[in-house]
Amino acid sequence: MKTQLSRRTFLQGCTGFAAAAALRGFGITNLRFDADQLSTVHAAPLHAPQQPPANRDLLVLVFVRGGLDGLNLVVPFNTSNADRQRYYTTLRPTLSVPAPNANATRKAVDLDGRFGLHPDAARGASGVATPNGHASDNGGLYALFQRGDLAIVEACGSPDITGSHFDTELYVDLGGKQNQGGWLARYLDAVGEPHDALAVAPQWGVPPSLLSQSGRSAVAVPDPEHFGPQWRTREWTAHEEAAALIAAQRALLEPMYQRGGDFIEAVGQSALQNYDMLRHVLETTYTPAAAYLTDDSHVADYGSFGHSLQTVAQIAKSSLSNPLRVATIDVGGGYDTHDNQGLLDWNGNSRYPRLITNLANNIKAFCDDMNADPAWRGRFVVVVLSEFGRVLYQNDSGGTDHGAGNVMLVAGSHGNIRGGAIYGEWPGLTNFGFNDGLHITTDYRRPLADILTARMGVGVDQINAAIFPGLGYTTGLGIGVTR
Amino acid sequence: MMTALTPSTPPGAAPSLARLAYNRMGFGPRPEDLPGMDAFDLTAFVDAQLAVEGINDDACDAAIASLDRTDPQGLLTPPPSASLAELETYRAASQAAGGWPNGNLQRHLWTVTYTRALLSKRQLFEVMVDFWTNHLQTNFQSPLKYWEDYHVIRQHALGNFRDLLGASAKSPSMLHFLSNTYSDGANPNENYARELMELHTLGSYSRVPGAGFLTKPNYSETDVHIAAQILSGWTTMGAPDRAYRFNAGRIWPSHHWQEKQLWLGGDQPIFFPYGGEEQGEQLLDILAEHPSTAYFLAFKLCRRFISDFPDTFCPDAIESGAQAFLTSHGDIRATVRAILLHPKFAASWGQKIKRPFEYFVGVLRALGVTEMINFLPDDWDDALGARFFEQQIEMLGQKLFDFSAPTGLPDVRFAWWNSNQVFGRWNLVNALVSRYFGDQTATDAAPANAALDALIAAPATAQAVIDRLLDHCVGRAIAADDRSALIDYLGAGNAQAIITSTSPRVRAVIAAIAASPYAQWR
Repeated sequence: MKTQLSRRTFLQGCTGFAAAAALRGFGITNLRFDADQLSTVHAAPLHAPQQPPANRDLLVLVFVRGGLDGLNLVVPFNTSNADRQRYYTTLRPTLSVPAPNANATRKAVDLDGRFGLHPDAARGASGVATPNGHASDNGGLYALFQRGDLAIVEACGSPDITGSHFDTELYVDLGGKQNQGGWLARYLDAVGEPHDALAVAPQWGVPPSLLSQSGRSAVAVPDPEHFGPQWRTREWTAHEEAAALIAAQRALLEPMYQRGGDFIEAVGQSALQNYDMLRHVLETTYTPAAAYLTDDSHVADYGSFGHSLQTVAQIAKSSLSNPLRVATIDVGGGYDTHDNQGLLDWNGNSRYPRLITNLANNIKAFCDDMNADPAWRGRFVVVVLSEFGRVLYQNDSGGTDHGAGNVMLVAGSHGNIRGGAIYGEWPGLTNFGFNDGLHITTDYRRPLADILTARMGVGVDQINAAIFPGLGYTTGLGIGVTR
Repeated sequence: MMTALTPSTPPGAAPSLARLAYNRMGFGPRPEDLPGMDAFDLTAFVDAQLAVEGINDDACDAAIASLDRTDPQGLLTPPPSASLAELETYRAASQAAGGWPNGNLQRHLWTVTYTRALLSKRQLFEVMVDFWTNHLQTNFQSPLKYWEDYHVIRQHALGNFRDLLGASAKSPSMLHFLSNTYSDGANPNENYARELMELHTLGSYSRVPGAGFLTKPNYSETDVHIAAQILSGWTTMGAPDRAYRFNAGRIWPSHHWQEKQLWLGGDQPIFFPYGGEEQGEQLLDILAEHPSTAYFLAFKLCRRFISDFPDTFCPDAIESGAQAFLTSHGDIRATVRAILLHPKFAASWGQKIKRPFEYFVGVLRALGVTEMINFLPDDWDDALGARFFEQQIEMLGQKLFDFSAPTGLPDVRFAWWNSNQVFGRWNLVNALVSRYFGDQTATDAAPANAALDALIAAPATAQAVIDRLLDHCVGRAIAADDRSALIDYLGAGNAQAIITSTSPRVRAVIAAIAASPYAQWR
């Protein structure tokens, strides 16, 4: 009941549709169920501790919804004299991250002499000024890059790009606009996973990347208050009473889902099974091995992303009869930075610093958390992508509009990827691509295919025939280390 | 791998043709529809539904007229028939009062649309409104959608396709949604021209059966560019209240005022003589009459009414619809009639499932509810108020007039059935039962409720109540074991136990039936 009240208080604080939108991306808020809430529902049987999939890694897809400004995350401070002049003087006179050698407290952190990371992607790293400190400031993406666990692909994007978030996001989720279902679902088909293989979106709703045409059903795990069947009344209903009524309904419904093996019934069965399994996981208290970042004082998404990543780690490390195969998380909180996006300031307009801190600290926390479990070392890959980057130049409102090419991040573990390097052909800043954004030189599906073939148990033929039909994939960028 | 793509044979018996018709051509039967089903005649039913002007809908109209239109700031939202000027007046007033006019108008339009789906006797008309709303998708980026719903979609939903297409092309909401309002001849914005051909009329590839089916492009990139030039000047810019006008006053470069030609996948160019707005009208004429348009629309209508996979399940019904469209020059009634009376319609059980909108309204209709939730008030404090149900709808993913892709929402089952839907629909009906029949907060006690007593014809035996509820909510025989389990639960082991609204198991059992897999089929 406590969570219910706090939820309503939160919603009252939002106005109109913003509340609904916030709700959709809200994700997990509290991983613990009230102890008495589900006590009457039978628990799923326990199995041996989960091992990673036998011949492949766990793939975690992070989709930054809204259009990440990759140019200020991975800063081209020295790609050429012309670029430097363009970035600092012409394109982004007041919205550029100072070069690593600049005389400034907050400035880019050098990666390879050409590109530097936004300092909020390197919080806690030695020599990096880190205002508004937090326990999760453990070097962020910079630490991952330094130890070879982060690959950056520059100028990535979709050939189906339009100026619309929704269209481009959808086309990316589908792995090409001509496809009817999601590419992650097709991957699970191609690799021969059983129909009820566990694919989780630790948030509201299943993203289209997991929409399946073959009848497999991904599980959206929103906060426990909204996970699974509920008895809803205006007046207060005690947990025990509600649970008993739900259990009675379930006893009636469960045999009905076993009457046929068709789509409706098969999905219903796996929904109930996965619910039992995951509820059992989420009921237990999880103590992560690294600090995630969920504080409102540092992030703009109510802590959704940190909670969601932590949930993925919790599920991955749990004892499940049906182990986790893929997970996908949507990140929001204001990446569509058309105005007043902010740059480096934590005392005034800290929007962009918060967005980057949220991404960087939590991805680092997830990697550390997973690496702390010997079973998962070298066995997971996190891919971060966004539908498009921003326009190369700042607009009159201190923001950036919808652009094109963008960075893609690939985080790995213990040598399963060739990190510490920047991949892709850098197109330069001297001419404009689509929508006046960065030219797209690498189809986003190529690095994905690279990871899938090297680490996820599918071959090139499956990429071209099933997962990304029409891509014509031959070789990747060499990011994934072949198993 | 192909489970979802193969025709289904749902467990339990097939429904009667009458049931199928009420589910597919409307939002499911209401209790008062059930007695008439014995003497059902499909042709007579379809013709009566298509003769929409002859259907007396006074009761529904009265319910709409009596809706409280007071917005959260205390202003009165204009009625759906409002003019652009009235909408602009409201928008300004709402904004000045710190409100969100687009959101308020969208919420009122939900209430109106849900109310019509719940109560209107013009059920097929309401389904067609939903069909065209998605086929010619725009959304509440601006209040103009509100005007479009009444003046474009509802005006022509069962009229002539060319009229509908023309009204849509000049609809301010469409002009904004697909950017044509900003397009000028020198450097035209191709957004609308492309979607006009790809989504509204021809389809990307030929849909005409035979060689080239789904392989021969219907237009080239050059065609898109030229079509955009032809349509430049169709704008709202500079017009009062953002109404449509052809902007001949702006200094259009000579690009517009010259002869043009399109190929549209043919061997001969189609010439567009020197002109202004009439070039665009000519383009719409050609697109509306194009055979691929006829087959594309027939395909989509078959997908709505008959099967998720019409190309394989009912190509002959597509053919019938397309021929009716072509010979009638775009008469929507004739096209719909040919499809609904094609034998494949009657043979299509198991081909469609309910989407969340149909499900939500269908449950309420089955339960005999006559009052729709008013989505407009800002009632966060009400645990089962408008905002709660708005969240449920949002979770289920079919928020009307909201979708931002010009494709409209998907119309195939894989988009609408997953673990979220399993639990979301279950939670929704639990909430609806509480909302309409009163809270049950304990396992052993429940409040008396007149509407619920009427629904189950209380007092009645557990067996009679279950059979009645199954008739209302499912409408066909379910597996015998499932039926006896429901009776057993409701009567606590005694099929003859007397049940009323105060029976502590009746609410749970109603919701279980409504949430059951049996009730998901359309």
